[in-house]
Amino acid sequence: MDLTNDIPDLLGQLQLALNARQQDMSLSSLRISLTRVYVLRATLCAQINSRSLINELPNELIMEIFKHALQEKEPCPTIALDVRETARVHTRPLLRLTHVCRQWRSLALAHPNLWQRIDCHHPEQLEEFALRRSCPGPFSLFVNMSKYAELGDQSALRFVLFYSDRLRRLDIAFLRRHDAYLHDQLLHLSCPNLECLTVTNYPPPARLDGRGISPFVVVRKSLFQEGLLRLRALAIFPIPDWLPTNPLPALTHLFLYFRWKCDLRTAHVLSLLAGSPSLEMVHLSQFDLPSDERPNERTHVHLPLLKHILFSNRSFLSSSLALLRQLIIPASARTYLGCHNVRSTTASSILPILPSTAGADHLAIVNNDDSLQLIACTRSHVGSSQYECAFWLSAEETIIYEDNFATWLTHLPEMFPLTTLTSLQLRLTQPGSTVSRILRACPSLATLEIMFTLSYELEEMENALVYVCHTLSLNKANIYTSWDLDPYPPAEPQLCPVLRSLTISLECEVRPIADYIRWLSVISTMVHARARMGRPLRCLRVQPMHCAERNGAAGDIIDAVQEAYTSLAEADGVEEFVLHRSSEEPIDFSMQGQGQGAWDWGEVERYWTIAEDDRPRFYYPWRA
Amino acid sequence: MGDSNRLTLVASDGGKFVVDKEVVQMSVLLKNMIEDLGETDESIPIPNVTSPVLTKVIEFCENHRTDAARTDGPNVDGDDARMRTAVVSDWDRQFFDVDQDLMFEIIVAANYLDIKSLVDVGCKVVADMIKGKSPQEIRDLFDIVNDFSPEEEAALRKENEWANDR
Repeated sequence: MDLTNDIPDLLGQLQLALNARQQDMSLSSLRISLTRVYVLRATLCAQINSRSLINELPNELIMEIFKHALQEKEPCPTIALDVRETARVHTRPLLRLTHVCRQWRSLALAHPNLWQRIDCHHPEQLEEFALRRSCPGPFSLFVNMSKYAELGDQSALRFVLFYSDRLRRLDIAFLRRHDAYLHDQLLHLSCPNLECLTVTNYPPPARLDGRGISPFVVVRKSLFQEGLLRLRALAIFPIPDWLPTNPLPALTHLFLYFRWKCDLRTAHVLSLLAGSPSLEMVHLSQFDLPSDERPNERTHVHLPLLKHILFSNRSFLSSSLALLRQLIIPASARTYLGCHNVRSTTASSILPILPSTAGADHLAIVNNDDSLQLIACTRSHVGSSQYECAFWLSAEETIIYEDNFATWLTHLPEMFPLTTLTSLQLRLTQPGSTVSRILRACPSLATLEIMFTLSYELEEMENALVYVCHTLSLNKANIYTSWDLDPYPPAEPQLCPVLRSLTISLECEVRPIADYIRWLSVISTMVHARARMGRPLRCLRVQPMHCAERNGAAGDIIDAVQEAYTSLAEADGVEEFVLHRSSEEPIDFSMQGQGQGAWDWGEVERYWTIAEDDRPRFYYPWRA
Repeated sequence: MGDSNRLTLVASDGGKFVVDKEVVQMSVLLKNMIEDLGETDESIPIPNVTSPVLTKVIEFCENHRTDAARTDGPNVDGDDARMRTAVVSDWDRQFFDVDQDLMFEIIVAANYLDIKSLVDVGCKVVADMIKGKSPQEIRDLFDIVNDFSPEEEAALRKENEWANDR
């Protein structure tokens, strides 16, 4: 007799008996029966759920699934001016998991680490998460002060803050136009285990509320009762009228957003950095220092562990360089300068050779009207063909009618070790003489990639191709003179004697075919001349019409030009020839997959997400 | 004497699989067994894994044999930052495009054989199935019934108010 199959029959009999007798049952008897039925139901449900395939997994694997299911793309608040744009960590996914079945709920409730992130405003939830579910482990708290001000109920928050010794991460955010609530209490808590502190939109005094009344003075003050000895990450956005004076021996990540019109002394910044010897990432946004302040060249701050230093979002180049000059950082530290208001004609904009550029082996420069981007890379290791981005400058002039970085570019040999450079990418809206001057400073160049911008309006730009090709053809005695140029370039020593790989991309509006044929002749003459001098180009890549379709070139013209340029494959000495189609990008200026890929952005954003304005972005003028 | 670079695995149903040692060494369990056994022609029984499951496990290991992260690599499980960024590749997603029975059997087998990368991918695939779904949708997906009592349901409703708080 199979007793297990009797159960449905027995339940059927019970159902029949209940139907027949329920009218005669007392209320208490009905309630007792109902309770028994619930118990019976719970038993059956538990049995069914235990046989669900997912519930047959060991608990540790179900927990792993939970953790993956709770991951979000942006697990930390975005450091942004507008708190309303802040990416919050919602508790909804976690709560959903605990509402599936008893097993899942008990499993989740038994793991305090799932409940460590509190990003809510409901007082009961705050207490439940902070004091019960995450207990005894640490917890993280996102406090939107404005929200609490609207609720008018701060008691739960105050209560939770009694347990601030368990606080691991504290994010304090304000909306503008609100007064500070609880801020003194928050910044003077006892948080011995605090690892991450972000302060967003901390309200300055009302009279200094960004209305341009007068610069306000930033003072240094001690925060938190027992110091911040375990703090690993600190972000202040923007800097209010204070900076912490606490020693921060464990700090690895620092983000500071500088508010214009605040009177912040260089000494304060240096002192903060000097008190943080473990720093690995320093990110200074909209960085500027008082123009009346002369840096003390004898004061240097040693940051031996630094991996990334970024000046972003319209930082001032002169201020950034002044600070960099006072830091002693490892050569491996990647440096990013995202600067506006650059005066390319002034000495303060000239870079010193920085630790990150001293070993540069590859340089990429893209110049367009009032902007310039420069990436310096080093080889990932000795003998490697892979590069890693070491230095990145993104600069914009705002002084109208400056010289489009022409003066600045003449100082390039002072700023970068051009004599040992082996690889160079250029896209300059500069005369040929400027380009040639740069090439002349690069005697070790083996690979050169140039995009020439040819324009009716700027005839000298057209000459740049002719000028550069000509100077690449000259031998030491300057005897190769089969060129018809006006004005004729001055005599120069041979450019780039060890050049073996050349890429030329021509970017222009649609021109008559005759123009393209003339440029073909210029390139061809140069290639033959170098071969005759015993300096052949082994690898030649040419793109006669960059982005031609977008510029409105007809298909038959593109085909005719492409056909004509195939003749370069037969040029003397050329062993490898590539003819790029108009739609291709033969020059990877940003070194994607090498340069940018080497920039460990995941590490930079380990504790917070950086807003778009503060992220390095390579600007392609021809795609604008 | 057979090929010293290969060995034979025997599934619970008797199925035999001749595989490269390098491949099976993604399994910490098998790696340790191989080290303990030394040079031998003996087959290794895998009593808890059936032939169809073992076939899939070997397929995964062969596909990932050149991966940098091996059993002696960094522990993904303990690294939150890596967990955040790691994504399931197209191949891995295709690999787990099987019925639920087989999917969970693979995960259990990977856990038994201690193949961290396979466990990790399996858990991520299941997590992706869960993401964005309501409790009832999750129950329907995995044949789970609502076993909360009325009192517990009331508590859940209260929590739902928290979840709706934005």
